[in-house]
Amino acid sequence: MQLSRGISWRAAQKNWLLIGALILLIVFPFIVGALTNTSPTARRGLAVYWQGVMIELLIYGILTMSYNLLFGFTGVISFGHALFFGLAGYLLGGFQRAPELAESGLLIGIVVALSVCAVLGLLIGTATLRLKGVYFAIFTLAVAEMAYIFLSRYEPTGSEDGFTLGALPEWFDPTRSRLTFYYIVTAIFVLTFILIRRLMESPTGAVLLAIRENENRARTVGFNTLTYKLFAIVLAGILAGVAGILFTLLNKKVGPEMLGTAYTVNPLLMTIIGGAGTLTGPVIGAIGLRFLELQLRNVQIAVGDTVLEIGRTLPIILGALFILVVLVFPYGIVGTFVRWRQNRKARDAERLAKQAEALRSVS
Amino acid sequence: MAEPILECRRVRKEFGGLVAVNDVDLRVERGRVHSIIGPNGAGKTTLMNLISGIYKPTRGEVLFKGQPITHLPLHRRAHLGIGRSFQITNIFPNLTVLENVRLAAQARSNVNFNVLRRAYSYTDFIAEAMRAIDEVGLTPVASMLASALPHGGKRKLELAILLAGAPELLILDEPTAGVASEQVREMIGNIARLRAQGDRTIIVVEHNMNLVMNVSDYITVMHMGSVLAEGTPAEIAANKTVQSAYLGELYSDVLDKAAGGAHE
Repeated sequence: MQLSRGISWRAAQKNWLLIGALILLIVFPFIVGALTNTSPTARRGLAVYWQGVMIELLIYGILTMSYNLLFGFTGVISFGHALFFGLAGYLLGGFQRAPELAESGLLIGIVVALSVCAVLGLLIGTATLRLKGVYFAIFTLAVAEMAYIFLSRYEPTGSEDGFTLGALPEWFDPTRSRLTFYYIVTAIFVLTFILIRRLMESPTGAVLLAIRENENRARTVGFNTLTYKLFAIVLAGILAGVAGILFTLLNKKVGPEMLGTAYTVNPLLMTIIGGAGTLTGPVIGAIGLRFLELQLRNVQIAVGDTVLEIGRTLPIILGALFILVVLVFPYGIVGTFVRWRQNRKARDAERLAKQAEALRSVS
Repeated sequence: MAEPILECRRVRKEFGGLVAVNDVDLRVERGRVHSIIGPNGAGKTTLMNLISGIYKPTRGEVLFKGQPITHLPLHRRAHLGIGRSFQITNIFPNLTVLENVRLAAQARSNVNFNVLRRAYSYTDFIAEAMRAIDEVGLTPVASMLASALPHGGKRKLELAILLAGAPELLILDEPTAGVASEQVREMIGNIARLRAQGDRTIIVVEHNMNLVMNVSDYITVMHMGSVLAEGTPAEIAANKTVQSAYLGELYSDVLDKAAGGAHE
């Protein structure tokens, strides 16, 4: 079995990079602590600040991975992904701050939020997945916008301001025990990555790819594509809910902006820039883009007497970057690389086969 | 006569006011190569869509192995053993040739909804796929992306996808559409070989008379949504109505040869 050996060898080679990234994530708080000469377990300081930044990047990573599952792997374009993200935040917050539930509110909130995300995915999917491409996208956009408008005017949840969470148990509090929270988010991030990876290597994942490539053909070959699309939208909804819960815990507040288009469009752009339909692309896109955004936000450049605030022109800069990346890497950064390698491998195989044929005809 | 593998009973399909298929009766006997010919717009492809389940008929019944399948969805018909290729190349472009075919092998198993195992750990699907790929001569390019294949290669890939699904009834919709003439002979060979493999029935929709007269056991001629004539290649070639309505002078040399008993 030449074939299977080739595949597992490639997998091992690929895993080295991933294992390296995992180790980096684990030691990150201590590296930053050493570099900035601050304690990673303190209440404040640069080490803790950078942990906070990394937590946010990882949450974006989870959200983008979930978007990629739909858009990149199944070929379903949703414009309402923020609905799952924001609604999970609201549900978690609502139960967590309810005084009559006390400590158990947090757990109940998590369970309810994720269940609602799953059911919502099932409902939206059943109602609309028969619609083709753009109609599904518009329907999801409409539902998300309705929820956004409703929550920004609904007074019990604080209208436009949203509301803050109640006190969290100390070990789970992103401010008081940031390092613990950092490792919790890291663990969930890694688990999400592994889950999606295993899924895409499984027979079910193969069907999702087939649907993305050519849904009608997939049906003629014998797949009930609707079921698979439902599965993808439910799983993506749950994962977006996980991201929303973590985001809410990190900020200790929710607001209607979590249901706004930004939390749909950003994952979409991050997926495209990194490489839709690749495993690492969306993660790299999410972490890279959000990192740039955070770093450039407060940069000021003095030109003579005038001070240019980069933060104000950030959307233009990121927009230009987006155009550039799409032009240079039509399949995203990771996607273009993967394609290039795949084509090279195929050409090699073809050349070898031709040589073998030539040899056979000579001898 | 034995029970036909496929039967259409007064099948009708209307699109708005247009009657694309007009109360067609069709019997396809087991183990035959049954060609459907007719001018553009005769309703051939629509009839194939009714059989494979892409469309539901306005009226009438479709039976497969004696069972009514008129209202079954596409994927259920595939599981029953109806495989289909398309006039327009219809593959999974950004997957490798191997994966294109492996999917078809996987599709007829019941492991599809399994997230715990790796797809490539089912080596029998890979073996089946490689066999089908080998059969159409694409082995050297098995690891290439399907989109990178030349047109003729994509047509062969379609055939391999079909073979890996191991259908009892194969529907080939214009297998030579857009294919260079020297490759038509190859396709004739492929169809003949498919037929030789035991219990397989093939419906071919074609314009290429050379291919039709060479491979068919039976021919149905369609014209404006209805069946104009049916018979063996020799009978069809000799049929004056068919000649005047459709075939004309264009293929007279091929037809004369066929009518002269070139075919069994």
